[in-house]
Amino acid sequence: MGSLGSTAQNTEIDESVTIALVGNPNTGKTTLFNGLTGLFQRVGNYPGVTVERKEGRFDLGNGRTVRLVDLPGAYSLSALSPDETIVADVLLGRQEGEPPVSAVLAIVDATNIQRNLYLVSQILELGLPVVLALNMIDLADSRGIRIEAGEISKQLGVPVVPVCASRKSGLPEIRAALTAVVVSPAPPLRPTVPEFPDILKDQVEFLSNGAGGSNANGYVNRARVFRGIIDEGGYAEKKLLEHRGEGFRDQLDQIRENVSGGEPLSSLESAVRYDWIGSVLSNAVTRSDRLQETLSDRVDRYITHRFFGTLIFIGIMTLVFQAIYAWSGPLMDVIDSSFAWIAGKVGSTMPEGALRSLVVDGLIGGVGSVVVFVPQIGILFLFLALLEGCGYMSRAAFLMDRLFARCGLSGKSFIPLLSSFACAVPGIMAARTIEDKRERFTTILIAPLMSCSARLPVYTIFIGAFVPDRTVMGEWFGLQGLTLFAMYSVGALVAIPTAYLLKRTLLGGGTTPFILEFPSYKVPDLRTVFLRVYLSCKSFLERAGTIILAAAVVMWALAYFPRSPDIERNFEARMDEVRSRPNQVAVEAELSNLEAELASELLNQSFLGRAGRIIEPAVRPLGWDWRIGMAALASFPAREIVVATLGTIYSLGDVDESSEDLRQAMRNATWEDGRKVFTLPVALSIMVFFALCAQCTATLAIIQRETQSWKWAAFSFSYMTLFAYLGAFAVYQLTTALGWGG
Amino acid sequence: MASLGRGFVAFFILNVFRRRPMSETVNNTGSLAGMSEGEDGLVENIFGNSVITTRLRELGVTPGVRVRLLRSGCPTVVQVEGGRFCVRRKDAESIKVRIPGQER
Repeated sequence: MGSLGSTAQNTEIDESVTIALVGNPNTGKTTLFNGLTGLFQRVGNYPGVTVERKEGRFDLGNGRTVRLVDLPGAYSLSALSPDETIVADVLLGRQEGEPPVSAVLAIVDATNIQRNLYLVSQILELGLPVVLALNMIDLADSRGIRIEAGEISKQLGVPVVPVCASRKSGLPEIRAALTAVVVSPAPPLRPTVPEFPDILKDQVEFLSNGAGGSNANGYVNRARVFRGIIDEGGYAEKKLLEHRGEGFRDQLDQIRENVSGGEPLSSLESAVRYDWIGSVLSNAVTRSDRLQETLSDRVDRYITHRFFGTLIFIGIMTLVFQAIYAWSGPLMDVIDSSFAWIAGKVGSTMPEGALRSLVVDGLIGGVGSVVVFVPQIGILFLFLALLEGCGYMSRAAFLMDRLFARCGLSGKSFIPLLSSFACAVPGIMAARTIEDKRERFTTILIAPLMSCSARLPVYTIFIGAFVPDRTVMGEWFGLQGLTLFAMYSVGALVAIPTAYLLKRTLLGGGTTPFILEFPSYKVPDLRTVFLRVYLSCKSFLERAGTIILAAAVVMWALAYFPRSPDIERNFEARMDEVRSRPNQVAVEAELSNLEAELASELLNQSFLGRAGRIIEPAVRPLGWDWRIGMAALASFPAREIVVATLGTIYSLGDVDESSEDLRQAMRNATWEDGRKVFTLPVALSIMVFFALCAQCTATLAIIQRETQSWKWAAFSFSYMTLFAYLGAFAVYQLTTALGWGG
Repeated sequence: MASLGRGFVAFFILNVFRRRPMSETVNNTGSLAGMSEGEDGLVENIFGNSVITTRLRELGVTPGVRVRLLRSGCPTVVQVEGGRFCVRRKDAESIKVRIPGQER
């Protein structure tokens, strides 16, 4: 964390004032927030949950800078989702570590003003100074909805400011209105609120006084009790029972029975509020009685169409994938070679030894292995932000819901899982948009099974070396391409029953509720898009960087120690002998051979090499020798390390996945009795292992971060490793039995 | 990339030929799920007391409100005032509607 920018840095922030920005989802809230605060934002998390907390510095215009908190989008204070729980907690003053809210800036979408005023009616009951920002009034106007802001202000008793957040118009007026409500000791107008039945009001009054409601806290106490009564089985009820004791439950049930006579209380609340909204708007809004068909609806005839919609969807997803793979390639190469260059420069200035190896291989190599993912994450989040910003994302979730409902998930799981084909880290981060906790956790736990781009080098080298390059079924399918497709599918195929089982056992509870708003299509706000890309990359580097770096250093130490002076002396002697030869051209080649052989020898007797030999009995059933076992062990921090490890094992120095030398070395490798180590079944078994295994510290760190528990990270690691082992075992035994081993 | 393309083709075929909503219709007369695409109805009541029905009420699906069915099937897309959202068919069935000009 840490605020950005420079100029307003110097102004002292007035800690006594906190303004909360509240509104429905898709109302342009983030755009307004960015317009009011600019780059002076801090993004973090509310403690214990993965709801993003955004705070900005807001200049009131009279020399005072105050805190503006962008609360998550919410439809109601009934707190049906984690986002809404945070909104309710902050506004009701029970969010840990949050300062009390001094004033509320409520943003309202003018094209859907009835629905938006529902939340506003709840906020007005809190007795806080409120300023209403009426956004998209021009769009409403073009749809034939005429809104009198002055009349609404009169009816509600709070200032109402028409704004256009995307064009930044109306911002000075917002500033002035907020300054007025913050500076004046009491709000100049008393807001009007909906009238609930007397029996309910009396109960709320009685119980909130009993809760020790002084005048200052009266509104908040009443709101807490009110929500506790209305939200049957909900979060507020839980809080109320915590406060008054479990014995209060019977009394609560009696109150509810008296108030509504058995009808759901949400029915009563919504009826009263919408009645009130109707009377507030009766003189302020003129519109036709009929439901309107907008341009968005006409576009949706194609976008959500069974046939065309699916076609468009596939087109967009292909483009996203192409971009993640193709566009990120050159950038990743640049990052790779820059780190190699830095490592070379630093390495040449340091004396040979453990310290140099730690800095060059452990630290610089470790940082490089994290930074190299940034282009993919940046591009993915660029597309996610663009698609989200223009309103397509909810349509995509709609199209995918059918498929996902079958394994107990919903369409909302689609984007996280698709993203995981590039990299599970941003995929798991994208799962935050899923409100239902069980569905979110299930998605997070299966996301690492999607075949991420780091697995591709593994597939490339083994397919290139061991799968025959010929076509099957006529000229249609190349065997190598089919194998690649099979490897990409295996994770997804395993994910389906895994999700199904998780939803029926650990994260049980049937299919999750699915209700999703279709916002109107609009041009995405570029500032919001780029800010999101920037913040995603930054938080990835911060979160994953620390842990993967630590893991890389540990793995370096295991592969480096213990050093045997005997071996080094032995090779030093042989090198000296070579150097003394007369033919200098041959000497160079001989020396680099010897160095590679030394590295291989040292690796073999390091802790890692010893571990490889210890686990050999365990990996024999997979068709592996101890060297493959060691390479697999070395890849647990990050799976793509396996290629470099194999290079060292086979004394080849630096290699990459396209290295023909490495392929040849693997083809030549033999057991003690002269049989080939690598056969087609062995190659398939290794690939299936890598397809299913949780060999990525960054992913495990993000799982811990997003589930707030090491337990779930440990669980994914264990189940994936188990699946990987069983899968590799089954594939090896089956293909060997089929005689594919030759 | 090519292999990914084949996956998408498979998905496309699956999605286009997914089960038609008609085959699941049990008795939806009088509910939102029983309306046809583009048809308007007036909400009579919402049955049930779940997270979804609470949310539907908060989104403005209250007695007397005019709704339009934009997409039938599962999920169903519905318009209420200036808002459009999708719900699963099962939840759409809990919204009882009257079609203006039609006797029940």
